Amino acid sequence: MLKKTKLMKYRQLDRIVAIEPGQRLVAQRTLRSDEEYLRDHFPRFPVMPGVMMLEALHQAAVWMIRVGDNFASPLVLLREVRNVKFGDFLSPGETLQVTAEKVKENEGLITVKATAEKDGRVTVSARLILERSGSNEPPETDTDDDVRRRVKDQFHNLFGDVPQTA
Amino acid sequence: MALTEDEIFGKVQSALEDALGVDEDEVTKEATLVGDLGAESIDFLDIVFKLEKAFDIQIPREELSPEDILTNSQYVQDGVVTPEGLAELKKRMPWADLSDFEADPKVQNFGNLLTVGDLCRYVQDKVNG
Amino acid sequence: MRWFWIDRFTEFVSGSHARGIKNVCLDEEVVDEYCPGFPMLPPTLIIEGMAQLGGILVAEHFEFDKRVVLAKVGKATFHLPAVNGDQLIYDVRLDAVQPNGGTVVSTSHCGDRLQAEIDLMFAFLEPGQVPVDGPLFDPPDLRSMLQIMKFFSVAVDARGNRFPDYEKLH
Repeated sequence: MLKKTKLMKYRQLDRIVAIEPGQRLVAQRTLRSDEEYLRDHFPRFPVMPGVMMLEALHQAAVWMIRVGDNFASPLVLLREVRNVKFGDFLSPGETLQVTAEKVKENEGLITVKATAEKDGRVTVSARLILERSGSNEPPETDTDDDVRRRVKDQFHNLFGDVPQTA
Repeated sequence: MALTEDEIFGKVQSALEDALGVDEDEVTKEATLVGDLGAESIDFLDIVFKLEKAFDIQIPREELSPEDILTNSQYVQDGVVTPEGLAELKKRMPWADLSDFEADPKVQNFGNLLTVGDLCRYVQDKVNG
Repeated sequence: MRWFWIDRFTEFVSGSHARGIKNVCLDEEVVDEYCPGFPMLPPTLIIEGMAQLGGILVAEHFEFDKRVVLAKVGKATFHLPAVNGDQLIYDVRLDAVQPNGGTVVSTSHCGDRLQAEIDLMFAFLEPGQVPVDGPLFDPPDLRSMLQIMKFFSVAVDARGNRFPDYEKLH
């Protein structure tokens, strides 16, 4: 079986710049002109879809939590997103600096404030609420352990060894 | 349906909290929408939708955003609004406190004019007027 | 990879609502690779599906004469993950329109379980607001996209007529 490295079709973070596990994560995402979906979004004006920018924020929040927990949870599910504002377009060649910061945690729900900046200006912002979860598959299948292991591998395949600041 | 000032303020506060993602205590009557609450042009559209819904009113675009006056060469000279222009603005927006703007009527200052209190007075005129 | 996040329209009533289907399939790389060992449709792509249905609902209200873009997600709540084999039923209702934008409220169901609730705001690009003038889609591109999504097969226009045609799609 071929080992798939660095593969995650919907990957939105190119590299992690800084991480305080469980607290703060800073990452980058550059839009490449050869990204396939651009031909549909939009045929006459290729720009990153708003939801894809939101996904960059989401992934930053998820990894921030996962690394902070040392990948203890099989899943970190998005429960709610609020006040997502798409302030400016991102064209091919442009880069977003993505920041996710934990605001609070209450009864298993983690609130994260996340932003993306282009040339020092915030162009996307959102408030996210995430929740740790098991797979809810029958325990006899060992799905939870399997997912935990694979997600941890995925992180290292995608980002390598990321220096952590406490 | 006549609403009290407090009832209006409460609903306007709610709409702004939702649209701008700010906390209740930030939304004071003196707070400016742009400077203090961080509203951008995209947010004005959102605010309009929320106020229309909350108060069951219609908000024509030019009533809150007098772009046509601010880009009219009859009313603006060298980036400064003329006395005729100011009169037009007062006519269009009688609910807004334009005194600070009158002191320095540069077009670029207009964006930061509107306060939460202005918005409440606007709604009051529409709902009770 | 096409940027289609609904499979097809099942209902479309101008000025009112649109319904569509999204099948969550294991052979979609996005589904398979997102959370390895637990294939699921990323929630932001559910938002995109709603944005596509809702954007078309808003655009059709103006007979496709506006350049509609997603401006805000007011709120999106996800009750269950969408996993391989699920068929999501999307329902989008037109909430309000203004000359420069529109809002929709929507739900996603998996069977009879509420899977997500999503509120969206769209803005219409003004002339000169972006470097490109004219429509975001070449009319034949948009028309064929709507065609394969079965829009024309189910749509009822503002006058209550089936099989509507639109000048701006030619």
